[in-house]
Amino acid sequence: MKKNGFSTYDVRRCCEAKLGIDFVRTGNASHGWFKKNKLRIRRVTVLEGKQLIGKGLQKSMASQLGLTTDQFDDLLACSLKKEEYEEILRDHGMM
Amino acid sequence: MTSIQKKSEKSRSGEGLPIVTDLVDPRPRRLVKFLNDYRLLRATASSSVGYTKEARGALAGPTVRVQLNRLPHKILKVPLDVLVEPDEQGFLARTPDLPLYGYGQDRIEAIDMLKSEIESLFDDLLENNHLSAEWLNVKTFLKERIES
Repeated sequence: MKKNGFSTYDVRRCCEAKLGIDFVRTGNASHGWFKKNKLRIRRVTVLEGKQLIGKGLQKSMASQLGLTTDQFDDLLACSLKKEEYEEILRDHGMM
Repeated sequence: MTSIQKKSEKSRSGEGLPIVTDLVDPRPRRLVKFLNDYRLLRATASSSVGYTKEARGALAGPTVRVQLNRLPHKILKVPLDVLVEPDEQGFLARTPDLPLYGYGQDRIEAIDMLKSEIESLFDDLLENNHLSAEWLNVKTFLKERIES
């Protein structure tokens, strides 16, 4: 995990770049869908801004993506690739 | 199941927590913004303006169980249980029934965000048919609970 933790900006950037999620802004947050073959699989909400995410928020976002907090950390730290993410979703019957 | 596991299970579902029904923030939005801007709201959340004595008491605890009866623009036919708990820098509102959360500097903001999230999800699901089985179930669940 990053020394000072991850920010909401890190999460959004990572979801866009690695998972191809397009975000739509609603109020002070944005949400986007992880899709496979146009099918909507997971929906994640990320707060606007660059605030550091606490444990509760981290767990909530990880859960929305169908990941544990450790897997979520790996996703943000760039060690978890999109193919591995899809594998996790398949293992959990989410895809 | 051990007593610790039972306790943990109860804590996750919010069982045993006091319920605050139909929590609507009666304060003017500008006042909330002012209090937020000057970091006053967190200190005064348990004694904030306009709450009934019962609501103030329930809001003072670390985790609060709330029942939602309405969304920003829609009415719920069946109330939704919501748990609001402190996070490191604010408050987190979540419902055990849906994969959504709300976050805010105070409990009311967190609940308001969750309400908007539920409504936004419902609209998303109504507009789209390319949904996984899990989301089709959520769509059915929300259709049964939200008045159209």
